[in-house]
Amino acid sequence: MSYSDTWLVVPVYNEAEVLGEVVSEALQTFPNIVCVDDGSRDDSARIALNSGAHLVRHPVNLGQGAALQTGVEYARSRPGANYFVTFDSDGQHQVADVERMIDKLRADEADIIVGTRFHGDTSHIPWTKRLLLRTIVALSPQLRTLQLSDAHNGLRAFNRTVGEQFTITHNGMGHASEIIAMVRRYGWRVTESPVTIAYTEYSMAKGQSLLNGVNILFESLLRTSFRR
Amino acid sequence: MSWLDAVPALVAAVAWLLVPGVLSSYALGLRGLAAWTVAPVFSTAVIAVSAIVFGKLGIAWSASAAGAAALVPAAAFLLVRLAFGRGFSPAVRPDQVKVRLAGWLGLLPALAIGLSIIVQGFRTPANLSQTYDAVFHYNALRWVLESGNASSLALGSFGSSFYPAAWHDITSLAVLSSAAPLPVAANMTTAAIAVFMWPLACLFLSRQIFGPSIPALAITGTASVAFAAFPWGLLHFGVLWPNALSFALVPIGVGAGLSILGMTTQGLLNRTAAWVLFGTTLVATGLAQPNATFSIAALLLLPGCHALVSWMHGQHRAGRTTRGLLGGAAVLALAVASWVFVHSLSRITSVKNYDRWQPFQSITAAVGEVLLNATNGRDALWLLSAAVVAGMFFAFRSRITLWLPFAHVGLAALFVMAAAVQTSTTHIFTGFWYNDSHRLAAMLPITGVLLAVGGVIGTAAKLREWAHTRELPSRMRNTRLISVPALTGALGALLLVVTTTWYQNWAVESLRMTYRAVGSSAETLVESSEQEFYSRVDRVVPDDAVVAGDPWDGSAMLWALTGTHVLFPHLNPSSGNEYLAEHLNEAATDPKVCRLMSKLNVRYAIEGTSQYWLSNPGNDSYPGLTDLSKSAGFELVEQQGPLRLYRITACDPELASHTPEPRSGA
Repeated sequence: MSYSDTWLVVPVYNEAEVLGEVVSEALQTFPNIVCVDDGSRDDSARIALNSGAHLVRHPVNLGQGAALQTGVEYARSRPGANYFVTFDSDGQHQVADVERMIDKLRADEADIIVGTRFHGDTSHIPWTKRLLLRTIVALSPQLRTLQLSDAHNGLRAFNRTVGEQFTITHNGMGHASEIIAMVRRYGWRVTESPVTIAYTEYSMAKGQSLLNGVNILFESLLRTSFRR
Repeated sequence: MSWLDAVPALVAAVAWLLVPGVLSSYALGLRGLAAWTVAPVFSTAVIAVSAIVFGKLGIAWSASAAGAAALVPAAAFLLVRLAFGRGFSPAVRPDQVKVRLAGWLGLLPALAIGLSIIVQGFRTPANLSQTYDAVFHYNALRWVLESGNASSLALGSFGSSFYPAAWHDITSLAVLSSAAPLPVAANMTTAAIAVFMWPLACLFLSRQIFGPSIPALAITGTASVAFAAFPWGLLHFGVLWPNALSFALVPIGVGAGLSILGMTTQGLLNRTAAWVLFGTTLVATGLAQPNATFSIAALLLLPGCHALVSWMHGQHRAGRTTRGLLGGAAVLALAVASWVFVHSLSRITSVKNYDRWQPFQSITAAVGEVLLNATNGRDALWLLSAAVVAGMFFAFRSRITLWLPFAHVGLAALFVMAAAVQTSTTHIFTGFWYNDSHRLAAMLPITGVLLAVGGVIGTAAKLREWAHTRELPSRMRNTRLISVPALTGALGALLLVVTTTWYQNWAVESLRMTYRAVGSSAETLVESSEQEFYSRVDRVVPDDAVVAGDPWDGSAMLWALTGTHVLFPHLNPSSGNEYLAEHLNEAATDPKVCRLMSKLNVRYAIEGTSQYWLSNPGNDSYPGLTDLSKSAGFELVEQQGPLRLYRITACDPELASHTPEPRSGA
């Protein structure tokens, strides 16, 4: 199946070590990839370009949320772009998972599909991460209402309707909560799709620290409190 | 007059620059930073256009008329949005609160520094700009207020031809809505442009380029008032108030253009809003001072070329090579046709051939001045210049900023051409700005502010990187003190300290040279004693009478300051009054003088001491206004030191037989 109508949006910040491999592998299935270099100090930008991806560079470091927003803005301006995927650059996400998500979108089962780590066996997920993510879901009325089990999974796929309305204002890691808020605000049809996250030594070292997770948790609590 | 008394005029000027525009931008669907930072464009356009429309319809210019006009575009935008729904509504959401706060709070140092420069530089809010062009602008304001016509189609030579009147329109509204004296309103409008409008415009462009970056937005305000060439340079030289207004709009036009070209980082405008804003900016700059329109075109040249080449490349990749080539050729043809058309306009030709300002330094010196932001002989701004140079280096990181160093070098080249070369070839490029090194230098801060901001943040990132490679204890390495925002804050604070203590002095001193009430007569057109004398003249001269006087002795300002009409409202005579400039003192013997006096209702004459800018040949244009005391038919009615007011009796035998006692002032 051709995925020429699908764009992978890959936020990049100092990922020179693995980026080339991640992009090259994804390009075998998805011909359209935009890497958003968020002010990397290493060779990430050059590697992204040499790998055959489109490259957009932030003039200054803004954060992952901002990189996603920039990438989606770029992708939706490209002719023929109908489906969009947010895809991490550290090698955690699997191309096969993305294919399944796009197929579901094509079948019009949802407007946005969020990857979840919590369908089936979860023993490969580090217990601290599991505990934190479960706590965030338990404390979030929005996630409970939408019946989402893994809101902070970076792998998401959505159609043009969502792509047009997609506006993240949180520059940093709080964007995941903001995406969930947008789902409710715009009434997007949302569903989950089981995905496998590869917890390699590299991705564990590069991924969100526990402190970041606590920050997200705190921010989610604040949002909930203010809404009330 | 105290500064407290001037506050209503300042508030009025700021309100007229912002409120009409905010109505329009909100009606267009903009919110947050976008709505407020672009507001001056809509305000300037709606005020200047409505002045033209009212002029055509014969409706008197007033605050209420302009206020009503401000509602028209706002209502139109609302109606169009209602009619077309989401298709017209900008879908761009406002930034996060903390991003907006960074921008707004970053303006506070700019406000403090700017107002400090204004207060120290003007000394008092009513001080006059003692400059050549100020005579025209003050009297043009008086004409607007008296005639009730603020149209750009009529302001030239006060009622007969086109002169871009946006600045006069806004300032007249400040007068009408605050009841402030004319010089106070002019000064406060100038302050509003320099201290409020320009930093807001820079904030908009900075947000367009750097995206929702808190460090970038936080230091943009300070950077915007740190350059000497603009806004302070144009308040010193000229004085170029309309050009100051127009240049302050340029960052908004460039920001809108970048949105159209897709060259922003999460821009604040969608394409529809960008086109509306861009078009409005062209109207606003065209009616403020058209050379800013060319500034916008010059600054967007490289981003435009980049966008065109990217589009053609995209077409080629998509297998539509022919379409790409044809599109590129069409754009090039349009650009060439526009260039040829512009050059064929007689008004443009006369501006381009302007050669009053000759080159005054070597190319090397001019290049050095650009590098140190010391253009036109100013003090070097070392720290700021280092930030700009660093910014040029860091700008190569992203296609969004890639054009900035090249545009800055391009603007620098224009300055060098005007300051150090000037040939018929260089005039092709610099002529749009009168081949004037001051106007050209004033454009450098437009790119300079952005490069300085990029330089400070890039340096902060490098410092952080350096700190992380040092063998520091992990606690110190991971502290938030060694983060990019914190280091940017530290560098920004350093810039702030240097700006307030060192750079500020030049700006203050330059304004003081221009806005002086006392000093040597060579530099002062109207001294405070002369202002006092003119008040007495106003009490003596009937409302409908016209007073002749050598404008170079300051009497040209009599009209602006008191409302008493003068024969020579400009420093140079026009064809209609030229004969009287040469022969008025021959009234008793030359019947043509009496005929012209009767036609122009000239009944009084002032004689003072003309010491202002004696090297200017225009000073010798008024031999007919000299030796009036020795001329027949001139009756002394008021005197204060060397200043004398005569009633002209030469053409009226009845008046000649009645000789009242002259009154003397202190």
